[in-house]
Amino acid sequence: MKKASLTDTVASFVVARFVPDFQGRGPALLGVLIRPGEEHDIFWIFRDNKGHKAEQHGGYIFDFQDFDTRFYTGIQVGSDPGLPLVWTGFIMILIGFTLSLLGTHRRIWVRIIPGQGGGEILIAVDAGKNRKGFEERLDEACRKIFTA
Amino acid sequence: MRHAERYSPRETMDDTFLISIATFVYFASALVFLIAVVSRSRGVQRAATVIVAAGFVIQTVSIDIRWVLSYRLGIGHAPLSNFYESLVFFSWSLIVVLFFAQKRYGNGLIGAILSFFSFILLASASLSGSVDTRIQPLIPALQSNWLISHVISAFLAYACFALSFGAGTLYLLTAKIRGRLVSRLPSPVFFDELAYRSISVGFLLLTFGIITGAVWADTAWGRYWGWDPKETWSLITWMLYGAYLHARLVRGWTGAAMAVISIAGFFAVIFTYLGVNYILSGLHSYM
Repeated sequence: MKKASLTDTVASFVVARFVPDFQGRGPALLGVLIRPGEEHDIFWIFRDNKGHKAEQHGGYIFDFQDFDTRFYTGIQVGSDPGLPLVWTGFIMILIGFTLSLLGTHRRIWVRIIPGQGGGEILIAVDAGKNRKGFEERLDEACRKIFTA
Repeated sequence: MRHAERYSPRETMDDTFLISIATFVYFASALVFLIAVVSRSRGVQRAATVIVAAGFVIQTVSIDIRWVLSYRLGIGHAPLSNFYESLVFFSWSLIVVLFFAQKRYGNGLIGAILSFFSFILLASASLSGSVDTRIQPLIPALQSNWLISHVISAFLAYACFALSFGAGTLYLLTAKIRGRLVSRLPSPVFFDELAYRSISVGFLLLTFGIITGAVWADTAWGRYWGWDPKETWSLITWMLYGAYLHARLVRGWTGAAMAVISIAGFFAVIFTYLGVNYILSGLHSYM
């Protein structure tokens, strides 16, 4: 909003709001009269004033004669030189999570030591993560093998 | 004129009517799944699966009808944008997760939990009367195909987290309480593993959802991340589940602590989904 200085004084006037139609009473402006050392005077001014001609405030007369609308367009332009990096990051995070969450690095060693009367089977395992879950699954597997 | 009347938003009872049927079907399937668990009957469980599948077909048809109607109205977007549509899609996602989990684990309790959650969502969508069921236009900035991938991945993630919430709760229940009824349920270890599995998948989907959301935000508003309440809360949720996975996979945590985090995580999900709409206002407030 533009602040207009009033002629020959230190007072100024600001249009704080414009309403094309104020509750059916036509176009209106919300004006603020600023005078040093005094409180701001805030008031509505109507173009289609019926009754009295203009608003009187602080010794000034405010008259809303007419208004004119102008069209404008805003254009935002952006440049994104880091875009390939962003996409690489997105794809890497997805591939990384998929591999680490849905895949596990596990190693199993089975050693069969022949001996009299059947011998021995030695099983050693190592899991990169979720050892507890792997342990349970291994126990289950061992039960199945050794009861068979 | 007649044509316009017929498809005016208030008159389209077709899709919402099917949803109210699906609501009752899911309630029935939750009950039958529960009977299957208690009676340990494979036949009953098969029947429950058939019931939930029927509900799923009805719901899918309803979503499709709504999609077609939105194009006939000239609004033209996937039915994934207002609160009603989100409730319906959340419930649909739960059933998708139900089928996958059911196939993998074969335990009827999963079916019972997820059908029941689905029932609650659909009941609040169609029976409460306070949720606006009309098809509403989408503001031009958001009309993009990113909508589909963002919303689908986010809600499938929510559905996985709902399952992990149920599993976490049942873990605490089966680990702390002994009784005849509890002895019919699977072991605490099963629920611990189930929560972990569903969080792994949910976390991946949530990551995908946040990324597609960021890309969409960049095309719509010119920035990837703007600390909108929904964005912030989705990050909080993501970090909570990230902490869960880290604690489990790197620190080797299991059991009650994990169950508590999976329950807390779901409260963060609920806040991301509802709290942001009701309490905080932002770009994601699609009430």
